[in-house]
Amino acid sequence: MALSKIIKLAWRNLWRHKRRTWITVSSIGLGMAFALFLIALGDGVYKKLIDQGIRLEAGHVTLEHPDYEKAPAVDRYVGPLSSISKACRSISGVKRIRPIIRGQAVISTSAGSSGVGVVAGNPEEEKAVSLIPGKIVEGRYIEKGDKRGVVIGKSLAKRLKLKVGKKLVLTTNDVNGELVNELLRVKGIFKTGIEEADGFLVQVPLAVGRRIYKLPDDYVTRIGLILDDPKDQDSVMEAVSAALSGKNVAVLPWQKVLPDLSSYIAVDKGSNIIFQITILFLIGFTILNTILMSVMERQREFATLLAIGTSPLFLKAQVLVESAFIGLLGCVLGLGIGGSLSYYVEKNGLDMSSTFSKGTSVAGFTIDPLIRTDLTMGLMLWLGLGVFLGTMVIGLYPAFKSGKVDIAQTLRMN
Amino acid sequence: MLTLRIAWRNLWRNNRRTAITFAALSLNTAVLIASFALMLGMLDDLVRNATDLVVGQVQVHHPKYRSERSIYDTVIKPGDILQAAASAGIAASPRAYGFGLVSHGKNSAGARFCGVFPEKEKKTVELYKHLLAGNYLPDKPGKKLVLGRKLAKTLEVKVGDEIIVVVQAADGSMGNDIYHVAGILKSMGEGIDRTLAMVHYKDMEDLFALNGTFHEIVLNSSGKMPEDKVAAAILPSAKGNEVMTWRQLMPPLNDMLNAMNGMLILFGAIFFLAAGLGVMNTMLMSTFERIREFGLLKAIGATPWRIIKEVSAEALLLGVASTLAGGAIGTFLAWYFQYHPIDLTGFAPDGISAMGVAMNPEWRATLSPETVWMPIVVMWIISLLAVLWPAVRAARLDPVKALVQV
Amino acid sequence: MKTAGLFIIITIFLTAFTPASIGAGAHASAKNILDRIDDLYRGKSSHAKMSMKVVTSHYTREMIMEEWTRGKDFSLVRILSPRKDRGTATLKAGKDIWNYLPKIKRVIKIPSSMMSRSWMGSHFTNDDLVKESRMADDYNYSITFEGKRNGKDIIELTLDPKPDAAVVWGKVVIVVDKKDMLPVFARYLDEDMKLARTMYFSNVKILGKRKIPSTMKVVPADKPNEYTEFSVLNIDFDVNLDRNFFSIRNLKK
Repeated sequence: MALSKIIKLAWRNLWRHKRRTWITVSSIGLGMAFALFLIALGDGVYKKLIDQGIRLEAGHVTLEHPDYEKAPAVDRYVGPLSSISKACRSISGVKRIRPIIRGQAVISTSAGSSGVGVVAGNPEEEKAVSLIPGKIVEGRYIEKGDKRGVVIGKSLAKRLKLKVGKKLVLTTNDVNGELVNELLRVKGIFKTGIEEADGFLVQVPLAVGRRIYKLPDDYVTRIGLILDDPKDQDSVMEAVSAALSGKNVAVLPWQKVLPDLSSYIAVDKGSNIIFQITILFLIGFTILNTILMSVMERQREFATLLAIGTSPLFLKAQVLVESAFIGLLGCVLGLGIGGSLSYYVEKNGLDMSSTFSKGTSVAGFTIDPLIRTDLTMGLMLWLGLGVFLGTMVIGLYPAFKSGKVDIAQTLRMN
Repeated sequence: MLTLRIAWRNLWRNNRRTAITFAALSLNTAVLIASFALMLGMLDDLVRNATDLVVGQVQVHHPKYRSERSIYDTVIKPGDILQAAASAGIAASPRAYGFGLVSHGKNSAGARFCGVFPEKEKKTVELYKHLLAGNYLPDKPGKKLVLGRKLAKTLEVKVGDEIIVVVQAADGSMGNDIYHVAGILKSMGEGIDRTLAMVHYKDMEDLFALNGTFHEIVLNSSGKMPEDKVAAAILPSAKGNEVMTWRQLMPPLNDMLNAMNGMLILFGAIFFLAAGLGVMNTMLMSTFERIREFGLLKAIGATPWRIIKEVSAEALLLGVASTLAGGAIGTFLAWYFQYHPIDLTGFAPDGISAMGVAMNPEWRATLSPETVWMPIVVMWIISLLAVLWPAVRAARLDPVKALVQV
Repeated sequence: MKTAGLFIIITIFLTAFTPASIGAGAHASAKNILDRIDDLYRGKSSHAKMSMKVVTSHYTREMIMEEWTRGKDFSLVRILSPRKDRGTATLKAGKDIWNYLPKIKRVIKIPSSMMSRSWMGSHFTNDDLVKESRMADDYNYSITFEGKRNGKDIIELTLDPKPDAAVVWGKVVIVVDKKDMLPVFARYLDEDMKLARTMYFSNVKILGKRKIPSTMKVVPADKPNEYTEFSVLNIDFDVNLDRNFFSIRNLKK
């Protein structure tokens, strides 16, 4: 069989020129590893940014009253929570359902008063999702049973001279527009490094929020859906919209709820794409160069083979198969090295704290000094296929060239 | 000299090999220079966004102002500071702040008023360039307002609409007046978007009974000096005030910049590795190809030293020539992107902000000496190493063996 | 917001302290005394003229204003002096609050969220002015002193907030003149039992057929040189005011 003979010959030929093969394979493999790592790193940073933005707001997908976005007010509530939760829980890809009540209020102490944003949520759910439970510096986070528990930010505590255990009076308008006063006690103080949160945000248990704002039982202002994989966002949104059709619920992606973050990431991604294209270009060029170089090196070999009667077609096929082998080996090497490196960094994180000038006090938002890559099967497949096909396209040139070597001229050289 | 001449001739003997190596070296050098300039530019852009849009490089306040936000905590002797800034060639804009109610039709909202002298403000920061609609404040007072995006949305106003303002003035009285919307800002971060109402200082002075006082002086040298120098230049005239650089004013942003810096160092390293790998492999390939040739040389009596010398001379010549070419191309690219920034507006048409700071969606390269010479030198080292390894091996090779190697 | 807050606060101040019933203070239990203080200024409706003086380290300001109230839902305040602010008026009708600004001849509606803002320039906290509840409901109270102090026969009441009451104070001490059962001063302490402010009642007069302290003065403990002082110049209780009086048309008058 001619094909198996070609494959066998090509394979043997590769290992007759070990050094050349290794150089070419390493060009492809290492280059691909770099590209894979770079892309996974960029994706990891975005994933973290989105993740943290979502932790402050609701979720990857947010369910709310259709008019809530226009003018957020507590009387634009959504529910009933139990039936929406039930519908969402059956949709695959939904990891957590996070109901919250968001409102405005004034809190007063004997030292003064300040306008704040109130976020009421299920403490257990918030502990898994929100940024704040992990940033408690004094006292503890709120618990479900806290009838008057509240956690406040460090700067707010300082302004109003509040300490753990001290009381404050929260004044706000309930859903009917009536003025309400509620006594709360500070259970804990958090410090996230984000002034908007530390100075102007308080968290209370969901039941307390519902009591203060007099929301009907089983209703909240927002239901956030946290997904297993953010990439499923579109399909989950579709499923949720279908499941809740007929109900008075707006299903929004995080990009709508966090437009600032969304546009920031869009622009930053734009610049990242340029980096990615550049590095892919460098790698493509290296592959082209090494393959071109090896063609020249092999002119004599081709000439000899043709001189002893090998058919040009056979030779072309053999060279093409060699390229295929090289591409395949390069991909395996690249995915192996790049994949394991990315996997390692994804699991263990890459500590960037040495690059911070101050080192220790790092604000909580974008700047966790541990950056992680985000490696996906799709990326590996896409990159592997791209590099392999690229190598094959580049390999067409030597294959084409090999059958057309001027025997006499080439053999005379050297 | 002779070695170089021989090397030169040798290079042209196999002009295709030379051309490929030359291309690899120069292209990698050019790409490295351009990418590094873009990376550096990205950091510079972030700093520029942090400083040039609203905050400036340095701000002066009354020591209590930032924590209390009281209308009475005004900058001490602002005239001295403005004079010191002027004599040091630093642009300075005094600002006054106050809280009040803005209302249009049925809608009303709380606002943070910011009074500026438009002509000074425009020389200091670039906020005036970031309008979604309408115009910036005219240089003369005329009861005009520039509003944050979300504030305008809450009030449901457009350019030209009437706005009633009611404020608590510094003398305890209630200031109230009718203003008109001159312009609406692009997205500048939550704080500005939701609350900012910018007015002419003279209007603000009347409204709030300010009596010529200010709450903030913003200083910006627009990149001519680092922020520490700017702070140092006005420090003697700012006695009793709090002088802070933007890094101190916005620590999260400073941290973000440092993190970004770390990321870019990592990116840079990956780029270096990728480019180095390309050059290394191309050179290795081209030198190993010549092992037969070296064997031949050795067989006819060349000393190992001569082979190494010749090969290194070739590598050096090729390296210098190609990195010079690459350097020129790269420098040109970097220069081009410095004056023709990459436009990323398409990704975010309404403007963007992160960490409360507006971003200019233009990506500009920064051409600095390091971005040029570093890649060039590294390329020299890599090409020399990539040549010496096979050359040394060839030099030490038994000539017969070298000849047998195809 | 400061200014809006000012008018609202005055409005609420009077409405909060309005329906009437003066118990004769013959047999004084702590509860009787507290209820009596709560009801001092309350009536079904009222018409009053009052002055307010605010002294801060930055300015001193005096205002005279006229006020009409009906129940706790309706009130209208109009500034008579100083000249600069003359005619400025605030209307509270149910949940809505309107401001009339004569300088620009406009009426603006104050958002309900602003209503709950504290008045930053004043020495009143949000809490004690907005509140419509009765002291006897929010505090556990007892008479802690009865007898002569500084040559005056007084009763001292100590109020400890009930654990869940929406009160910012840690403790309130009220001293009442035993002779007429009218308050003399009240001290407000924070949770660490540090004095936060003192409210003085003085200038007892018969106004609107009631014997009341006509002047109330608040002094913050951390700024002893500052104060806010209200004086009732004259007041009539249970006057005839119909609902239409509290209209935007009347506000602009």
